[in-house]
This record gives sequence, structure tokens and C-alpha cells, in this order.
Amino acid sequence: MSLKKKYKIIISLLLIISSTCYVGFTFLMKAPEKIETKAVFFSSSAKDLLFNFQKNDTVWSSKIVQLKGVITAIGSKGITLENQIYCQLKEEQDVANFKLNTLVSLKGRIIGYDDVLEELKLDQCIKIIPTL
Amino acid sequence: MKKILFLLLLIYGTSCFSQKYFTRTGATDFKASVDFFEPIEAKNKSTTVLLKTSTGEIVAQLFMTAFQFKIGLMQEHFNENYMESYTYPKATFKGKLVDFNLSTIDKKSNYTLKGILTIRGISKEITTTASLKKDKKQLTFKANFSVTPKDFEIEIPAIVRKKIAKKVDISLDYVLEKKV
Repeated sequence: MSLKKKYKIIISLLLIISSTCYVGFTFLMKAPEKIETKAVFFSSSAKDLLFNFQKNDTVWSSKIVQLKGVITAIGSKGITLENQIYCQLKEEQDVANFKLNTLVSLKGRIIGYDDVLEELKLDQCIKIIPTL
Repeated sequence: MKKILFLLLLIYGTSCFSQKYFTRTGATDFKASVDFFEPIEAKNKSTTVLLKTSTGEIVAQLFMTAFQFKIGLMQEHFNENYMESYTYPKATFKGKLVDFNLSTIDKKSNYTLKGILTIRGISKEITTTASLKKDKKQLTFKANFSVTPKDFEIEIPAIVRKKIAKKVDISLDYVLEKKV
């Protein structure tokens, strides 16, 4: 009887240890958070973002923004809003879903001001379909 | 007089108007993995590259925070503890492809690439070989080189020193398009 009790304790201890290891490991190895679930820091028109960015360009790195603006150029992996904001699309997004000179809503992450091409650069952009 | 001025301007203008190739979405990868440990590698798919084909001058710029890791915590540590991405957001490379000539690119595809790499505000001279290939409208640029964390005064805590390679391999893969 006492032997059985011993086994029970050992087995339950092993279970506890392995489950905490598993939980800890999955926590440590978690993938970076996806853009879809991240909270929006700034939501307005693309022009408004440019205005605010020019006023103070220090707070914007890695911020999630939701923008509305006119598409002025379409590339192979991204689109340009209002001539000055390049939005690199998230990989599964298709540029064919965007039309030149139309208004679009996007959610993306600001990576910084690109002074080689003189434009604001965003990545991981996804199209926002307005809910009615 | 006006005509001559106009002609001069025209000639000057056309000579200045040299072809440029560029991309906004170039891939810059790095690997600092050690065997038997968690792979340490990341991809930056948002590298801006501008190549002046008349002179072979090349400029590349990337944002540190655009490096994507498979593991979120690793990405956080990379930006906050090692690269200090919020203090030094960019890495830049300014250099030249030696004896670059776009018209003879079919015969010669490997060029010496020389330039200055700046990370965390610290500059280091880089010399490597780059391969270029022209394919209708696109120009594919590939190169590899390695740096050490020491080069850029990146301190690695003793506890993880064994898990991070002494030499960091960087590979560049850029598909450039003609700039209009």
C-alpha cells in the first residue's frame, strides 16, 4: 500500500513538472504577436499622420496605425498612399486587391522614415474592410 | 545665347540623368546560430536599396525593428538589449561596386563590393564579392559577408555567450527595379 502511494506521488510530481515545463517553454517560444490582434495607436487619414509625423518624429517607431488614404502607386509588394507613405503589405495580402487612385483603409506598423527615398515606411499592412 | 544655354542645359541634364535601380523590399538576413542551441536568425524584408548603374554606387538602408524573428522574446531582446533599436533605428551601407558596367553584365557577374556599414552609429569597412544578374527589367543583387558583435560594441552577457555565434553571417538578396 505504501509503495503504491509512493508511486502516486512520484507520478503526480512528474506530471506537474512536465506540464510547467511545457507551459514555460511555449511561453518562451511564442511567435511575435500578429498585426491583426495588435491595438491601434493612431487612427486617422494618411495626410493627418504625415502632418503629425512632421511635428514630432520621435514617438512613431513600431507604432500600429490605421490609415485612410488615396493610393498613388502600386508596386509588386506594396502600395503608396498620398505619394509619401509606402505600405509594404503582409505576405498573404495581394496587391491585385488594390486599385490606383482609390481610397483605402489599411492597418500597419510604422518602421520609420526612409531618407533614401524620402518617404514614411510601413510594413505588415493589411486591408481593412469597413464593417457596415 | 539662349539657345546655347538651353543646349548646354540639355546636355548637362542628360548626363546627370543616370539610371538608377532600386527596391524597398530587399531581403537582408542574419544568422548567429550555434549548433545544438536555439537558432538565432532573422529576416528583414524591408531593406531600401538604391544603385546608380553609371557609377556602381550603392546605398542600402534598413530599420532594425523590421527584423522578424520566429520567437517573439528573441525579437524583443534583439531590439531592446543588443541593438538598442529605439536609440539607433537604422543600419546603413554606403559603397561601390568596383568597375561596375551594366552593359557588360552578361559577361561579368561578380564584382567587388566595398563600402562602409554603419550600425549603432559605429562604422566598419566591408569588402566582399557581390553577384549581379540582369533579367529583363530586374537586376538581382546577392552578397554575403560576416561581422562580429564586437565590431559594433554589442555586449553579450556571459549567460548567453555560448549560444550566440562569435561571427554573424549576413546575406543580402535584393531584386532591383528601374527607377522612373
